[in-house]
Amino acid sequence: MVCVLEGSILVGNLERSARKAAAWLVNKRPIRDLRDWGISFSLWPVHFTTACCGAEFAASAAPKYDAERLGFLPFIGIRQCNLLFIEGTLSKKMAEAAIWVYEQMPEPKFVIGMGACAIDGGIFWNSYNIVRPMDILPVNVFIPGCPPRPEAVAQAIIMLQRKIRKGELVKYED
Amino acid sequence: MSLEERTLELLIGPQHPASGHMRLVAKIDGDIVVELRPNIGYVHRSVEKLAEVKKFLQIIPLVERPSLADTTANNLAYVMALEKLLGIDPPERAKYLRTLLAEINRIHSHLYGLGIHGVMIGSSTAYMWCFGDREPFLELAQELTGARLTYSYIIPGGVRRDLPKGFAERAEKAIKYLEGRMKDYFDIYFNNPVVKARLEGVGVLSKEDAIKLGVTGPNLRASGVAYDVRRAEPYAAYPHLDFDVITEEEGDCYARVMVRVREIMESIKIIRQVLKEIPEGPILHESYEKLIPPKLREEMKQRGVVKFPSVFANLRVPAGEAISRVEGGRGEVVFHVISDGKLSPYRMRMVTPSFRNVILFEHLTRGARVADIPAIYGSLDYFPPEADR
Amino acid sequence: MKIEDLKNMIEENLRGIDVEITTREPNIIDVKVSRDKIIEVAEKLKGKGFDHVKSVTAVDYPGERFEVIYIVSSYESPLSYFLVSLRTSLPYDDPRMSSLLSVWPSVLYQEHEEHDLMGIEFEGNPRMGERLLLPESYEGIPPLRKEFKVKVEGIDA
Repeated sequence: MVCVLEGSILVGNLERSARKAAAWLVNKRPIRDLRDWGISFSLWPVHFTTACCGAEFAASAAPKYDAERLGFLPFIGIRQCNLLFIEGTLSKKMAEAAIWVYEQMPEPKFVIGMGACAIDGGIFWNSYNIVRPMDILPVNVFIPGCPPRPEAVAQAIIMLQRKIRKGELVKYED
Repeated sequence: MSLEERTLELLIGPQHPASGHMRLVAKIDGDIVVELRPNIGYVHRSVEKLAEVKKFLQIIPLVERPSLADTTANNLAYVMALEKLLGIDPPERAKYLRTLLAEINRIHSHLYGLGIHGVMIGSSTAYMWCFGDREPFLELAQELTGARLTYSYIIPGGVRRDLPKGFAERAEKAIKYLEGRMKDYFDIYFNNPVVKARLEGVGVLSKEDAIKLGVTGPNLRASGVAYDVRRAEPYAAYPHLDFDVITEEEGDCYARVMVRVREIMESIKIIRQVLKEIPEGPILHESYEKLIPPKLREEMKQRGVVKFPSVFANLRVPAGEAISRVEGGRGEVVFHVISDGKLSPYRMRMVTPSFRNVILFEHLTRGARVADIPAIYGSLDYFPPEADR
Repeated sequence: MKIEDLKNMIEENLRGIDVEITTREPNIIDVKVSRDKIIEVAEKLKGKGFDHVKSVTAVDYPGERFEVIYIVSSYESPLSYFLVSLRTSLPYDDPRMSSLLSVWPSVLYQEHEEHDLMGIEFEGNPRMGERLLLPESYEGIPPLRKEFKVKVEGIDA
């Protein structure tokens, strides 16, 4: 693109400058707060019921400890989800599948590690077949317990929402 | 075009919107399944190897974790094998309390299976109702043992806690609530023409095949075989109780669902009998109670909570071999423990009902349509962490 | 039916084959046989009404032998109360035996698991050579053997 301004000639790339301007605008204060508020109240997790903690995850989406009032809807298509729950022990065969699922999710995405097995192996720490999730994925929040109560799962979601709304986790780059 | 090029290989899983992680490799021709092979091992946590380095009492939480919806069955089978090796028999009150917890566990394990089956064939209402109706029973169990799902309640020689005051009234309230809800379940879900069209006549298992393939649990009883471990080799308080063994004749998915629903009603009958007929007495075997210091023994009797004797920290079991079996919610759990007189078992073998039912995936889906695969999968009540251990 | 009657019935049935039969109260009968006669004994037991296998256990005694134990029972009364444990010994450097798949189809997955985790060959089972529970890329000694050590910590180490 070429334009003439008061006698001097300016040369530039229109599309690239438009994108840089948009990224700068979205990262600036009023729109950034709106964007973070929207993301934090629509965290959709992937159905990744790894191991025994899956039963308490299913109970936290059930009527008594209804997690859907926090904006949390387990959805069937991976391409529309932005939260990955590693529930329980991750075995070697499943770790490859976890990385494939993580790479298919669109940005910005978050990971929560649920249970004692996701922190350091739990009661199966000396087994020959397990992997620590923090070695292969960037985990944001850990929930201790074996299995953790559904109230603890709700508390973890609220903590993650606070972190997002403070502006620490999401940043648009070009 | 030759037949080789007509079949398409379809990979279902390991991440799929239903229970647990397993992969089904299906070869389909149009809409009909030609061959289906399950690929398991995504949740293999080597419980049998870890049991050889842990002490005998530390193995109780380890064997509970695989089958999370029905933990009392694994706990009870392991402790029964230990008691056979130690040569002791628990007191009568402890046997009745074990039966009470096992039946409460059977009710909420069947509701879990029905809820997951509902969400697999597309009915979110069934999932929400079943999981919501489990909560009164989880609260009853929490009052009795202190935890929601993993109780570790049964120890060699008896049980860990006594009945709290007023438990019988609260149990009666929870049971009346569930009986009142059954009419709604039948109106909305079980007598629904859509559900019947998806489940009747699908995945039929004949009686000869069920016996030949060695399947277990409600899957076996829905094909007409009246085998239940509580009648074949009675344990705990079952010799004194009165209940029926539920069977159906057709062997299709709808029959399996109906067997589970009717077993919930039988469990309610058993819980009422146990709460009426439970005898008074100690809850821990006398040879272990003698080893507790007298002041702690007084506190134990007052509060109803057992203090472990110090011998449990380093329990040595005499050398020998023991086999025990228990009827869990999903089927028959078999434990085979070989001990050589040291602090850990020499070899512990654990066979869970889901592992014995894996062969049904190959057998029932031959010739079925692709949309029948979730209906068959849910009706088997298969739990992957339990099969892989 | 008493356990003594069942023991006599089985001894009568297996007359002529070199077996060792003992009982363990109250309901377990041990039948010990060598590995080349095991299919014959299995077929005779199936003819008597024992129609399925509950578990296949392989135990290793390092340096000496492997022992494979089949726990067999029946779905019909009165045999459903009793458990027959059919056992055989294999030499430590040649752990192979013929599979009982042709007699009892319920052993398919259990024999496959013992092959995968303990390294025993069951000739005649079509799944030999494939992995069931371990990852495809696993190399090394089968993990359930005594020579494979797991980590322990604390005062037991």
